[in-house]
Amino acid sequence: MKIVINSGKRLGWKINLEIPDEDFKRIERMAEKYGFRTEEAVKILITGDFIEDKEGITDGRLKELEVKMNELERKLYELEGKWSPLKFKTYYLAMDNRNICIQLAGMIAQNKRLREKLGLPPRDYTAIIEKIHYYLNFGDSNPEVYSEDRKPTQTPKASRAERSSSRRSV
Amino acid sequence: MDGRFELKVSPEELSRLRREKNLLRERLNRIEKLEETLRVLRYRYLLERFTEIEARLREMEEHYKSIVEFEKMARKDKEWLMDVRKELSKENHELEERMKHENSH
Repeated sequence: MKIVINSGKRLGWKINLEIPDEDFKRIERMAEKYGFRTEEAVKILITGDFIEDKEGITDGRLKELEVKMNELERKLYELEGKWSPLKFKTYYLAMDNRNICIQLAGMIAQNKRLREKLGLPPRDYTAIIEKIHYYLNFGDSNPEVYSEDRKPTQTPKASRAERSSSRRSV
Repeated sequence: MDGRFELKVSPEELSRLRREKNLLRERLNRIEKLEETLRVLRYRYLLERFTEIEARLREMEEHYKSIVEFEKMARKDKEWLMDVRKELSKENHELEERMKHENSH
């Protein structure tokens, strides 16, 4: 096999080398085995940019690592498959709660007004108002949590913490 | 493959190879060394990828856990909010009736 090395220039320099066909086939097989293109393997061979194995890496160790990696990848895909539907289900659940909270805000105002007119003592709405604050702020304070992007960003937990600091009147 | 294999390198690499021309023939015989290199490179690649996936999995697990918790909380909240709405609606209705009754007297 004749190896022609050039820099892609039409009139540039070229280096011609001869390598036994058998050796070239061996390089091709080797490149395929370790996941490289033949060009990459030939280039390493010709430039002499070899790396010394100081860790005693065997094909067995490679296989072992590959198996472990595949197992980890399988787990990741499995989790991603479960995560996506749950993310949407939870998003719509939070939106339902938000709608109920909007209705509740109106009902609280009505209740306050009626109680005042009837001379009744005011009712304690603290727990409801807390939930209203939380769900009304939900979409605004956490746009990234349920974005199409799968990258985990802010967690709903974090938004919960935010709730206390971002009170808004009903 | 017609008995000729073309390898493209950068102009700098070509100059270097031209300077080292008398070493190239000897290098072509170092196939064992090439295998060692490819094995090390493959190992490094796999290790790097393994570490990346491991980190991503840990991150996903954490995020998944927090969404599961959030879903649980939102489900409970929904039930509670619906109960409150029902109760408040009933109370408002009663108070309105009372108002009407008081106004008529």
